[in-house]
Amino acid sequence: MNEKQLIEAIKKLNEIKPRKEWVVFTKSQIFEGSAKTAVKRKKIAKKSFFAEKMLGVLDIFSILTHQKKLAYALATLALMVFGVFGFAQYTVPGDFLFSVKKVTEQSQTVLTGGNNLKNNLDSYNRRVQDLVRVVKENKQSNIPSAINEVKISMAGAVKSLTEAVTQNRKNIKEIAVEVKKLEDNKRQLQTLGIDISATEDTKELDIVLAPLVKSEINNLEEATLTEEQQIKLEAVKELYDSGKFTEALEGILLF
Amino acid sequence: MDNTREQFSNIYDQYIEKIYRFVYLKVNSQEIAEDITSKVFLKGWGAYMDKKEIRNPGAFLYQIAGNMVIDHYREKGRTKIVSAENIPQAIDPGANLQDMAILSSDVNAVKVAMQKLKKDYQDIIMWHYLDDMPIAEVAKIMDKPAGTIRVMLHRGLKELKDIIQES
Repeated sequence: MNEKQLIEAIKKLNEIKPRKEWVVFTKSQIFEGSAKTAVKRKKIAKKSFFAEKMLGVLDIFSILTHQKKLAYALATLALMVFGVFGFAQYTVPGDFLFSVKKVTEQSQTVLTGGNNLKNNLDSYNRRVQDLVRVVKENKQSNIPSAINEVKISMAGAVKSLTEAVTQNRKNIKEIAVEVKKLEDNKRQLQTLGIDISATEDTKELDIVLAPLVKSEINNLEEATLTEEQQIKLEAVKELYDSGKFTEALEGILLF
Repeated sequence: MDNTREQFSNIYDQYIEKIYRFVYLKVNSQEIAEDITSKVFLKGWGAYMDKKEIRNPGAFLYQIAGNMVIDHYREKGRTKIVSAENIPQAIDPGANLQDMAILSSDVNAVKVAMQKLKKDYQDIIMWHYLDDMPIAEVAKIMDKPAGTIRVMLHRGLKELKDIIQES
């Protein structure tokens, strides 16, 4: 066998071929296997995706849990605050949470608006009611604080009323009504044995009220009055002469 | 994915016979050749799936096939050196009758003699004469100069001739 014949013989080895069915089967097996692998990979990826989603959900839950905690904390805080504020409404001067009550009242005043005179008079009325309650409940330790609060609030109310009189923002009757409220409160306290002595503010109010009362007396003297009204006018004059201008003003209201 | 599959499908069609023959001539067993060849393509497809850069698919598949044949002999503790006395036993009992009929006695002698050749000579002869691979490409796969490949090819043919004559 020469080289050429050898090469020819070698080339005839090309006749060695795999079985066709095996070729087709192997090919399908390879790709099917890869498809299964791909499916597995997809499943794994899907699982990972779901796992990630679940983790995401858990994260959300975690956040929600934290938010819940925050919400609970806020709710608790709110309850505490409302509880404190609610409880504070039943306090009287001298109690630990009375300052909270005052802050709440001031906040309400700011929120609801209203003029300064009205607010101060309301405050004065509340402090008088507090003092009445302290006395009725016999809270001895609270009485000084309650009296002090009444004085402070009364000063504010009188000051506002004085300003209203001097600035002619109110007519005589309106002023008289407000003055009457002040006097009524004063009397209420007197019936409980508490005398709110005159302060600089009340004296100032008297000073402001004096010309106003005098002017009204003059007007009434010039007017035609019945006999009954004449008697009332005389009483007013007496109060005026004795320096009880607020009481005199109250008397004018009766006309 | 589909593009990769199509590409590898073409490579499979192009190389399945060559790789099978390459393996078969080394292991001389249809069953083992089919087994190894299928593993070669499975591994090749795996590499494709992993988006590995494969510049020369033929060289890549031959490399896998060569390594798998070596592994096969290592695992089985077999030797590819077959003595002339054992030639009848060396013929694959699983080889189909059609194959046996196709191959003439001369060709069968060459086939048996091929198995006695050194691995490098086997590869060069198979690639160049069976797969019609140019010397330059063989040189590239073997990572040797083309001149060296020509010399090796010549020596391989001479050795093969000697083996046949001896047998």
